[in-house]
Amino acid sequence: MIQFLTLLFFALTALLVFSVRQQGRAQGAADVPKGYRVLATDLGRDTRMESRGAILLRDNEWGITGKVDLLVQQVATKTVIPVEYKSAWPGFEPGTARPSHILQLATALVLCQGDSRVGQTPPEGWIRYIDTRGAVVSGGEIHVENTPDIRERVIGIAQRMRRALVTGEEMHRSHRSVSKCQRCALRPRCGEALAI
Amino acid sequence: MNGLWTTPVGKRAPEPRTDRPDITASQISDFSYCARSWWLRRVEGIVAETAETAAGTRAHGLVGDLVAESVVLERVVRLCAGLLVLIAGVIGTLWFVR
Repeated sequence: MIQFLTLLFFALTALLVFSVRQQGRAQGAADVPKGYRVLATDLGRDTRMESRGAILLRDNEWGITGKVDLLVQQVATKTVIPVEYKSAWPGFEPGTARPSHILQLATALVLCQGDSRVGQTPPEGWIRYIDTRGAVVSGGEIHVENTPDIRERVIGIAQRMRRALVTGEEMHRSHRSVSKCQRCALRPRCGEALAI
Repeated sequence: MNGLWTTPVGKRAPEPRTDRPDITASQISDFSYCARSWWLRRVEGIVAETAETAAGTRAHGLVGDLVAESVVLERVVRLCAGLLVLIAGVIGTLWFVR
């Protein structure tokens, strides 16, 4: 009996060493920093993964919901950080982020604060711009500080949107950027797209 | 509590309110990009995807695979460590009893 258990002990030790190495490699490949662990994810093309790992966060005070691409936690401090992944565009400038992406991340920060399951105000969130292979591009990780200003912007926009939904008010193009219209998938159906 | 969502234990998701429409994080992003694009999607129900968005979805999937692998291996590590402690305890007890 003891011999069998001793053999099992060494086999498990070998498996543990192997798994620790593989896990370190996989965590590096997934860009989960050392000292952090994954709490939840909405990433993945495998729907089983989504159903296992995704979590719909909810802020009932402001009526905002959303799934965060990745929610990591610093093991030492228990600090939660939401991470949003976005595709880097041609000509991406390192260190820059699109305003709409910043707002989506800011919404995740509001949700972390508002959902009792997280129940904390993250000091910041990260946007990661990835290439078509899923790798973070050079200078593609942007840290966005969680400030009262950014929170108020999110809440203000949510209230504006809800007002439009309740009143049925039609929304119109809210910018003068030709490139935005060029990139927009709804351009053929818009009726207000800028001349291209 | 499901899947990767591991903390805090025992806390339930807030109940959705039915007296007003929810606003989602991606809608806020859409609205910030262009109020009309949000309105066309949300109110008119127009679904549109470009090659760019399809490529983005694929890239998201690739990252998700890596994250999933990392999480599964982390669980294997925890399981192995737990079993090792247990087996060491059993071996120690057996030696002591002998």
